[in-house]
Amino acid sequence: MSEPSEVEESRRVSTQIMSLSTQLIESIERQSTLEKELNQANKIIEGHGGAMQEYEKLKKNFAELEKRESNKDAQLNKLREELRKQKEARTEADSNADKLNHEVEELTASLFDEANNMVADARKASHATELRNAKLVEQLHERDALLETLNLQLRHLKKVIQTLDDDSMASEQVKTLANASDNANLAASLSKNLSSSHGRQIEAPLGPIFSPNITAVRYDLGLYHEFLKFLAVLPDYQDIKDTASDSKLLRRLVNDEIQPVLKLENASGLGWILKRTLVNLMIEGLVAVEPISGLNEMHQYGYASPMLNQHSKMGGNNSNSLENSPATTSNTSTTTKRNHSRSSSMTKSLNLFNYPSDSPPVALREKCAICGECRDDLVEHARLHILKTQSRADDGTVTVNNTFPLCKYCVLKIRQTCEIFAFLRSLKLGAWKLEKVSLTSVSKGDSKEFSQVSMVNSNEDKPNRDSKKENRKTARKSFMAGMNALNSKNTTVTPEVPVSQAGAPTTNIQWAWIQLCRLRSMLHWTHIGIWNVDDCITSKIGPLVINDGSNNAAGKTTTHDINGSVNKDGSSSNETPTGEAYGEKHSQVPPVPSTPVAASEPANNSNEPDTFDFEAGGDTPIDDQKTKTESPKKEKEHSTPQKPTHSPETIQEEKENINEDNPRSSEVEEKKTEDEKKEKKNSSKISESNENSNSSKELLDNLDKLGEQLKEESGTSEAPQTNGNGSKNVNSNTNRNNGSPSPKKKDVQRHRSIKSVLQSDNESASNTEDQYDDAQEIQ
Amino acid sequence: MNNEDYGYDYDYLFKIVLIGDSGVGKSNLLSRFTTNDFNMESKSTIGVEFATRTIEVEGKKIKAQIWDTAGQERYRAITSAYYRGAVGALIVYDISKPSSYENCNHWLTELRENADDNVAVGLIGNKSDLDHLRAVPTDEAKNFAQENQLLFTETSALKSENVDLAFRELITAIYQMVSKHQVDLGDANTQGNAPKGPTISLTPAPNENKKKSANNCC
Repeated sequence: MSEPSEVEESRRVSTQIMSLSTQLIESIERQSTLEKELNQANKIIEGHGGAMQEYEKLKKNFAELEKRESNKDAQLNKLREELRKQKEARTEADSNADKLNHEVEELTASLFDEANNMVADARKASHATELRNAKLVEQLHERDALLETLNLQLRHLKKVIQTLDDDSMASEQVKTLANASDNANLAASLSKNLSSSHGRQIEAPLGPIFSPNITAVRYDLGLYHEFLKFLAVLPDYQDIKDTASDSKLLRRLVNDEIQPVLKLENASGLGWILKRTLVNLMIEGLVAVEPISGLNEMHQYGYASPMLNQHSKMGGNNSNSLENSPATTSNTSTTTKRNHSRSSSMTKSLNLFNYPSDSPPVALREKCAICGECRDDLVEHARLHILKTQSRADDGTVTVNNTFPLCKYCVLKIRQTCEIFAFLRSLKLGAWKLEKVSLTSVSKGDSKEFSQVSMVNSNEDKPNRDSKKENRKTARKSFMAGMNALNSKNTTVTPEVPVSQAGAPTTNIQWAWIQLCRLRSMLHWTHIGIWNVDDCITSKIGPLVINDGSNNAAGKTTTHDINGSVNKDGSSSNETPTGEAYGEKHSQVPPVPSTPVAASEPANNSNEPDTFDFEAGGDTPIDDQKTKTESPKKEKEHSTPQKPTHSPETIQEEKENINEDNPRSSEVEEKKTEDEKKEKKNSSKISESNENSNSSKELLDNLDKLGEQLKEESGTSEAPQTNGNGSKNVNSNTNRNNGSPSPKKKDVQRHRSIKSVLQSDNESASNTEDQYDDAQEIQ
Repeated sequence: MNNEDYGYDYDYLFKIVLIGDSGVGKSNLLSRFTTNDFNMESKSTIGVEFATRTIEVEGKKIKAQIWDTAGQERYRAITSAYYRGAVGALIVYDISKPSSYENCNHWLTELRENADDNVAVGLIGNKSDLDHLRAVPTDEAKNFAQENQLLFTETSALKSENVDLAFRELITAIYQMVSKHQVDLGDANTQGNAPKGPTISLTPAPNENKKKSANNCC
């Protein structure tokens, strides 16, 4: 052991040296690399140093930037915050807006709703009102229609009432006639007054003094011709007195009738100028007559002449001296009675007059200017009125020039004179609706004018009713006249009482003439001396008015007498009087005339079969028809005027006339016999009839009864007539003796007087007329 | 719809009644005023009749509705009913009939009893054409009218005298009363009307004349 080891150890050492040498070389090599590396590293380090600097710079920049960034971040945040806030606000606003919008929408919607509703409502309302309106208008129209029918009905009813009125009035008249005998008592009292014979009663008749019949008026006298001429020229002149150059009417009236009555030339109280001009003033209507106080008229009305108790007045006369002296205390029962009635009626009317209402009439002491009356003993003699003469200025104002006292007597005369002229002036005003007359037609040759008058006359004389038109159309007159002659009996002859209707006027001109005649006769009566014209019967005479056809006919006259008794109220209505009159007639005469007439008529009527049939067929039935059915035609007209007069007298007269016309004689005889029979029957019934007449008032409606009564009456009254039936002279004579007939015969007398006296009157009138003409010729 | 049918073209409607005795001429007065007619033979009125006429007063159209009553005694019971609502009345009498004048008192009392208190009343003396039959002196009637505060006119329906005047006076009186009444109620009206007053009162005369002439033409 250890010898290997040294080998071994030298080997190991050589190996170790060899290993260590290799190690060294290796370490050197490593060193060099390291060094190289180092160099390289240094170099790198060196290089890195710049970069470091740059880095440093960058780092700075970076920091700076970072800082900036942070700033910006902050800012951004801030902004973001803001934004967020804004956004929030915005959403809020948006929501608000939405809300509002919504609200608005809602509102508008509701608004529209509302509006629609309102419009709808309004539409509905207007529709409703429209409907209502329409309905109302409809109703209105309905009402109008209703009103119209009601008015129509009313008019009809009024007409009916009027007819009834007139009927009752007529029957009233009949009654008054019938009651004549009943009135014996009253008559007695009257007769007492009038004849101043006390003890006796029932002696004198108290009816009218005299009363001509309308149908008896003549149209063939000269004055009527002048009247026609007057009418013809009337439209051409301003004033009626201007007609003097064309018509003598005024001159004749003044000279023949007015001057003799007024006797102005003897009037002591008038100046000489006035004596001449007063009539002219009256013609012009410039004269006024008035009471000194309205009281006076009350007085006169109160004493109504028949009531006048003369005896007692005579007794108490002294106290009557006037001029406000206390009313005659002693002045008679009448005055006191009157005062009585007046005081009752005037209790409240204290101021109506300038004098106390219970004072006596007021009068003047001066003499009456016309007649010189100066008595102061009675109220009736006093000058209670004054006459005023007036003058008319250009502007139409009227001034009073003079005043004169008038007595009662002259008042009546002056008033009636003025009435005549007032009537003529009213013709001028056209109120009478006269037919047209031309001067040429009137005055064309004497023959023509005469023919006109005579034609009218002939129409009147025959029972023919020619239409008014004929007269109107003067041109056709002659022709028509011929026709009339032929047809005269055809037209409408009422079977009963043909003659009585003969004279009935058919034209307004004739009515006007009758009115003039009436006024003239009234003037005459005032001249004769009567207390009052007011209590006379004054039938109202007026123009024919053509109404609704059916009723047209009759002139308005209710009563026929110019001066009659009977009631005055006869209202002028056309139809009624006719109807009534008809009824009366019918009742009076029915059996007598109807048959005979029918027999006689046919012959006359042959020309016109139609009318004839109607009339002839009627017989008694006709009467009924007519009375009941207001027969529209002329029959009525004609019958009207005479009916009241239809006492046996007229019948008798008719008979007379008829006798002259041969065809009717048979009829007449029949009548006579009938009448005589009745007389016998009735003579026993006189007393009954009186009673009946009283009851007749209650039986107004029952015309038949009335008729019977009338028959009876007429029968009773017949007796006196038969005696006198023959000559007119006899009649007229009896008439002139007013007093003789007994009260029961009053009617008869009256009628007789109407006819006969009028005739005698006419005769005398024609005489005077002739004289007048003669005188003129001489001149 | 068709209002023309009912004639609303007036400012006032006055009801006027005509009263007075039977036969004094009421109906003819009315016909003369409304239609310028005159009927000699008119029958007595039954119950009542009407007529209207429109006239101009102080620039206002006034329709006068006139009731023509029956004067007859037997209708008296009905007549009182006609007064209702009347603002004017004419009491008519006949100057030639004293009784008709005397009865004016009754008519007046009846009117005062039945009609309104402030009804305007006129007294009319008709038939003045019958001067020669005059029974009622004008001055007495005038005094009576004055004492009772009535308008007074004398007329003639026949001659067409004063008829228009009488109605016109009455209607004017009514109008003045009515318009005065209105003035009292409302001041507004007063100022409108007051200045007019004087000028108006002067104008009627020419107007009236024109109217009248116009009427005459018809």
